Amino acid sequence: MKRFLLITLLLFLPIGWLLMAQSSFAVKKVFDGKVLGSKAVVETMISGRQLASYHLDSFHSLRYSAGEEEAAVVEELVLADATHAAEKETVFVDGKLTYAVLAFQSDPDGNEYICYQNDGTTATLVYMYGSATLDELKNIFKTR
Amino acid sequence: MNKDKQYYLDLAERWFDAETSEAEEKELRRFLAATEDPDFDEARAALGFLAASSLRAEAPKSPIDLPRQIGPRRTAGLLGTSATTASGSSKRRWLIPAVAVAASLVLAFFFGRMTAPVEIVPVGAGTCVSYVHGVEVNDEDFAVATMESTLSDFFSPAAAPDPRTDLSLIFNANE
Repeated sequence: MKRFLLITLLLFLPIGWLLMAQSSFAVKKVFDGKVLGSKAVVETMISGRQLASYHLDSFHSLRYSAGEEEAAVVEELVLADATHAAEKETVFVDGKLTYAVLAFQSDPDGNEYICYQNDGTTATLVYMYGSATLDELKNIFKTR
Repeated sequence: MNKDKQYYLDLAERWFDAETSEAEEKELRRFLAATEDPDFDEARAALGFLAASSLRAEAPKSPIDLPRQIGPRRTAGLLGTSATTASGSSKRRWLIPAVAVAASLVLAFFFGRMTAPVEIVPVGAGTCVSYVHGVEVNDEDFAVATMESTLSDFFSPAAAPDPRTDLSLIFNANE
């Protein structure tokens, strides 16, 4: 019976872990290149000392021209993530999402952020991780 | 006799929990082959048929004087035995794997959460790079400037939603 218990635990632990791995952010598809395809994108990735003064550990952004089809897909993904955000600020214009800042507290050491902006011409999607709070980020960048 | 019966009931329960030694298991098999007590139906269903077929020719070595009633009635009893037991050990057998599954999922949940952050960012430590339409721009200053410009767009007062504006629109609609 003890062996059976151990085998069951070893069998279901990776399955459970796999389930958890699948439950990451919906917008991960966009960063993985599965939504924008061959669209012209300006992608920026920073991780390390360049972000220290902002109390961030990693930064990943995508800036692209906002076609209607992609906008609808990305908007849906952002709103899906917004459902479990700890804090969120969103703006809708004519029923379309034009601005979103979502904050997630995934662990005691830091916060994760997903930011989305679409002015009808250019759209930007950002993922950040770090110890900075939303108020700190606003204070840092409000005068820049 | 009752004391002996209780001994074998306990032995059967320990067999279901995989806590019996080989010698105890053989003793249980011999007992089940020789008895038709309905309290042992479940154990007989799991073991008894095998015990009847493999030990029919072997005389029980137990000093206990057990009735020998081998025949078609026991075989019919073996095949038609129900899965219930007075001790509830069959219910416990399903409960333990269910608890093991639940425990492993809970462990995986918490362990997964501990390693969850930053899975979106496929970059190594110390990365500072931009890609413009697929072309790498290995210029740190350009990457940092892009980052600052992007975050200023998000967090500057002009970009952030101002609930005061919305409220003033609502309350001053008729003006």
